[in-house]
Amino acid sequence: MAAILTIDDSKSLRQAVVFTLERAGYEVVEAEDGRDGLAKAFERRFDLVLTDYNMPHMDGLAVVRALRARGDYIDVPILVLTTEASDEMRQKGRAAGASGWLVKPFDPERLVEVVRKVIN
Amino acid sequence: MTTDQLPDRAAGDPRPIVTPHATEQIAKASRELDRLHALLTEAITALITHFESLATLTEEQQTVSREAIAQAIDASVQAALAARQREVETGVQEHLNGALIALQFQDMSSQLINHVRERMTVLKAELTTPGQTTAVVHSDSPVRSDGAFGKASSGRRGGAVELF
Repeated sequence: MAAILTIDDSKSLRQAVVFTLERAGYEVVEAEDGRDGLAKAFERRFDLVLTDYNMPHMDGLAVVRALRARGDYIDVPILVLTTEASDEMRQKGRAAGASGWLVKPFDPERLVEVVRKVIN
Repeated sequence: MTTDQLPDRAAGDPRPIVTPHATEQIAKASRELDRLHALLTEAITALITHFESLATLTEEQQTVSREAIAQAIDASVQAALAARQREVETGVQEHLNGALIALQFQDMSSQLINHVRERMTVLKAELTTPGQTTAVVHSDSPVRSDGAFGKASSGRRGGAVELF
């Protein structure tokens, strides 16, 4: 079973992600901000990381850069799930090393499609 | 404070524009925003808990229905019931997905409330010491002006997706 780390400071958003991805057959671990996310990502290797952008302590792009700097996360898909929809932000995400940019609110079926595609 | 009592900035009058009453109103509005945030958080926690239970029970109900249909002796009745069952399951799934999108409102409304809080802090500072404010306020709303929960023109609901 593939393991996914979801990082978001909104508990309700994390619950929606967990509900969606667990029903699609994935193991999902929650982290409540960027620092918590990095700590959990360094404890074990996940098959995919799904992170918010606007978070206290450390934003999503800092999380992407920190993970990409680690050898064991060079090839792991990292998706940014955010309310930020501008082209400028998307380009920043791409430059930081994100694998994709998803604008909130997410469509559950579309999220599962995207996760299956990038994990495979 | 009446208009003729307002400080004359052009003449270098440094007195703050804000009155004690205005300061009190800003403080009350800030407290009301905090309460609104707490109410939304409380509501979404209850909504998601009930939503998850409903989704689980609906799946169980669908399993029971499928098993009951499989017991039907008449093959034509069985086929008709199975077709209707599939239609119902498709409809239920569509509504569950729609509800899951709508349940994400709390995340975006929290961000909007935080933006309003920041703007009120800046407003208070500007009224007290005009031109001295250095606080950074988000320039844009995190939520689209046309709403975030309707169907997009593509027929899909939810936000855009781009893979790099």
